[in-house]
Amino acid sequence: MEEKIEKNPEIVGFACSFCTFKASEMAGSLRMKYPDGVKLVQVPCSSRVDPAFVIKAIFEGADGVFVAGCHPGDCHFIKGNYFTRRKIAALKEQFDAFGMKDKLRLFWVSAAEARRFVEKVTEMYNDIKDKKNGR
Amino acid sequence: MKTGIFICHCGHNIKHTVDVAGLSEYFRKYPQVTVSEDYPFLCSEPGQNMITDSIEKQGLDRVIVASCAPSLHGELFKDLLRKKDVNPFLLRRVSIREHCSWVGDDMVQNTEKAKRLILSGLYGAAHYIPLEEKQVDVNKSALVLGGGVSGLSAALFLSKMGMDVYLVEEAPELGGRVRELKSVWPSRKNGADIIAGMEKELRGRDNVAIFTSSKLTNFEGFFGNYQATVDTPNGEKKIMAGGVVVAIGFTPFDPNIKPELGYGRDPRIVTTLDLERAGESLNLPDNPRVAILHCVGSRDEQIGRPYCSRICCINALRAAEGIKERFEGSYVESFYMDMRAHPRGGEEFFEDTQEKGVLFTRANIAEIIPEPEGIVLRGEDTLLGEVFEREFDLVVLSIGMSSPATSREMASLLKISLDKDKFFLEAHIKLRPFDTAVKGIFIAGSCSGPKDVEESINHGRASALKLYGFLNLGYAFVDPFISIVDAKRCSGCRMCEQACVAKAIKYDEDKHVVHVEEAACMGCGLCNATCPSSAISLKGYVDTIIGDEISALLEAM
Repeated sequence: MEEKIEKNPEIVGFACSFCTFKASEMAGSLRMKYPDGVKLVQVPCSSRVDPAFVIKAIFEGADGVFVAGCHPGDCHFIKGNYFTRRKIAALKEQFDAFGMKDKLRLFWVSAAEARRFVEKVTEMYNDIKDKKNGR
Repeated sequence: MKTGIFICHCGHNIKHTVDVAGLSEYFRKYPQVTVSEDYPFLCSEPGQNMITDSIEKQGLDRVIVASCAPSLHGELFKDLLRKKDVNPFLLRRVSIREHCSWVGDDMVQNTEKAKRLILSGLYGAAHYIPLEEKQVDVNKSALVLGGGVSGLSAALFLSKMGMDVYLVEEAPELGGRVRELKSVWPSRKNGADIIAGMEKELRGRDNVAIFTSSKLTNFEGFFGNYQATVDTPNGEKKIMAGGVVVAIGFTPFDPNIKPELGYGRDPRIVTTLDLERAGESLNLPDNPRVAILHCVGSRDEQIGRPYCSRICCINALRAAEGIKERFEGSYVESFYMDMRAHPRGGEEFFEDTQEKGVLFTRANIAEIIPEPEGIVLRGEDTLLGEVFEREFDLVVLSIGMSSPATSREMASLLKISLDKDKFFLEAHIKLRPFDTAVKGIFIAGSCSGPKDVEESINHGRASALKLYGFLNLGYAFVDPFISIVDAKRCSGCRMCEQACVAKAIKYDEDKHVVHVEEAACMGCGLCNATCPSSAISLKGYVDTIIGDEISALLEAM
């Protein structure tokens, strides 16, 4: 029987400089492991993420996109992540219409939560990988 | 465009799982790449020289350093560019250690990931433009919010350094909580005396204006030029200040939040603060039996106060000592979780108190039942694992510190952040413990987390010193990552104006376009993502930079 080749997804994440990007740095320092398919774009605040960036990433071949910022109430820029929450919710509805709701995720990771960062990205990677390989 | 790519081995840290030599070879094929090298330690002197030499000899106008996370050695590599008269904002740091070699084990996969990360740096940096660190004038005056012990010490320091100081206190008199303390440990001085000394010194200075019974109602502006509106008994007052020290203190924990303590239902159940206020006037039998409960409103997840309040173990010891001194034949038992007598001399004080005959029992108190003849405590001795029931004449609750009642209101006025316990959040817990995320606004005292009197005074002075350092220059550099409006594209829809939290976007009624007040812009980029006409861009994070980074990450160039 022919052996099936595993398809590995590409995931692009937008990480806020003050929280999630810091957490990802810490995850690295702690030598935590997460899939190499996860790559980050650093943004000053999650609110900088234009929905167009998410769509662009999908168009150019990303299997999944996540936007990650500070927990609600902890935004360095006071309210940026509330705007992000609204924007991504609206975008998710659009994605849903095209049956690709699973490709977009929004989550909050504070600068101290390296473990949560690794858990969140690994979980997303594995879910998408399962779908991609027809599981 | 002449780009130089420098890839660091970081000893074995990167080299171990990334083919650095292969990567530097790979990038040489790009036409825009003039130099592509790898080196064992770029942060070492020979490594730095390699970069500066290449800038000089090859005339590089973009430098990409692929090494550790950007937060490490941030200024070091920027300075190399400055040294060679290249704008430091043409530098791009790519993290291939924290984000690549340390998080994966496979050489092939890691090398591929590092390649994409450097590629995104290369394509992103292609859109970089030289940015100017702008200079603005600074008002040499400070607004101090809160007239407690840390606010007073901050105000005194600033005034002595020649800054105009405006001190705003909500209460009718200065001094905060320290005023109520009869004996401040370890000096045993009367709190009111300490305050009186500071107040006298402050009132004698002519560059200080004190507003008591006053409240901040509005706050606008930016570093160096803040405008505060203060509601005083003599009407509204406008204050111009270069910077702010926030020292609004704390709120003592309200024991009514835990009804099982029975506070307020029986006069024999008091807090350490009540005991302090009542002093000798407290009515007790000749040889009273007194129970002291530690950690009331501290280290308690269920009521949302998981933190240690730091002061209450010492307060409990003081209360125990006070009763022992007043009634030699008293029976004093202290119920604790852990003893945290952390300040200098605290451990000795704990031992002294034990020697004076105070009994310490590690226990969980389950019930407090007021009976006519005494108050019955039911609980478990956690060392013996036994349940006990004992009767007392007085129960003292050693209450912790809660965040200031007005912290939420204050945070939204000043646009600073709160932590999960609603204390003010510092910019960095270790490196910038006095700063907030907003430039020129500092925090002092227990409004940024529980502190004792000594720490609050030090915190106040330290914040004042940091603010003084900023103000004394007379000018300030503004971060260049700010938004800029292309007036030709702006349709005047004003959506960005509504979105901007910093209120940095102003609408021009005549020209029907908006502009950004540079000094007020915080650089979040929300306006950039909001603008339907792509008329606003956040410098350093413009659409083309992020867009090309995405494409490069996915190798879709």
